Amino acid sequence: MSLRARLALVAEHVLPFAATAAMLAALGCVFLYAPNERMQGAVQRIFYFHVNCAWSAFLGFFVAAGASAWYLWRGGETADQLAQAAVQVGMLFCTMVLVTGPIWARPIWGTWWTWDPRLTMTVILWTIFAVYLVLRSMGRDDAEIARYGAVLALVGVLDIPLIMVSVRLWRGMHPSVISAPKGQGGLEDPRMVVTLLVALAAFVLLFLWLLWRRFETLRLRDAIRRVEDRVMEARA
Amino acid sequence: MSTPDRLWFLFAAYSAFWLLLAGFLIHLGRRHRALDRDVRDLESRLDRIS
Repeated sequence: MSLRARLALVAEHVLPFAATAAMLAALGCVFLYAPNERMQGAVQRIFYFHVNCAWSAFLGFFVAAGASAWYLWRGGETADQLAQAAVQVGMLFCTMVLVTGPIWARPIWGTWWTWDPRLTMTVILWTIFAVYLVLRSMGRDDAEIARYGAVLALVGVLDIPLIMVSVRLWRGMHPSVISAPKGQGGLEDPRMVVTLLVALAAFVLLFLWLLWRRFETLRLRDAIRRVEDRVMEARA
Repeated sequence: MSTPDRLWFLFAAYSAFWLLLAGFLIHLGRRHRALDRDVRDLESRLDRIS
């Protein structure tokens, strides 16, 4: 059995069940195991999914940038399809970040939105990859548009390190929970760390399953287009 | 803000997450069904040619 066939077997028969089981375990940890945060109370439980949505979005955009770099260097349809699939899945998670963030901010900050550096940078990231998707939807098999898209993905991913350091660099309102020293708003209880890690595992599995499904759909779409072109040629 | 009010936000955030995920999966399912139709269409066109 080839490596691709083995991957397909795992992705189609193992990943959906593993992702579902891990997600149920994550929900169990979030609502039954993790303690209430001292200052925010139960609403802080949004944190476990909000942060993992952000990490999954970053993972998607990094995969897209890696595949785009490969596409620009060596070409190849597979790298381009992987980049497109990763951007779409990354955009799903980035949208989740931008929806769950304001819902969490309202009871804690007293406002749905503020132009905090990290929030602004995240909106910029979402916009860059939204432009990528619009660009890719414009050209069917246009190699030039694929190259522009690859360059845009490489430029867009540069925003992620800025998002990571923005809290320390520009001192915005957004908390830096993961890197906060003990006693200064970080994860005070070990059960919070365990919950975050269980949720992280669930999100990685969900990300991989969605990426595989989207990638396979794009591969099938392109294969159909090639056969369609050959049918048209045969008829002519 | 009172505790029940805050719980409403917790509920809203998790609902939004599942709604967005469900929307994405429905979108993927629709794309897949459209591709299945394309394959069937191609098969019938190939049958006509041959």
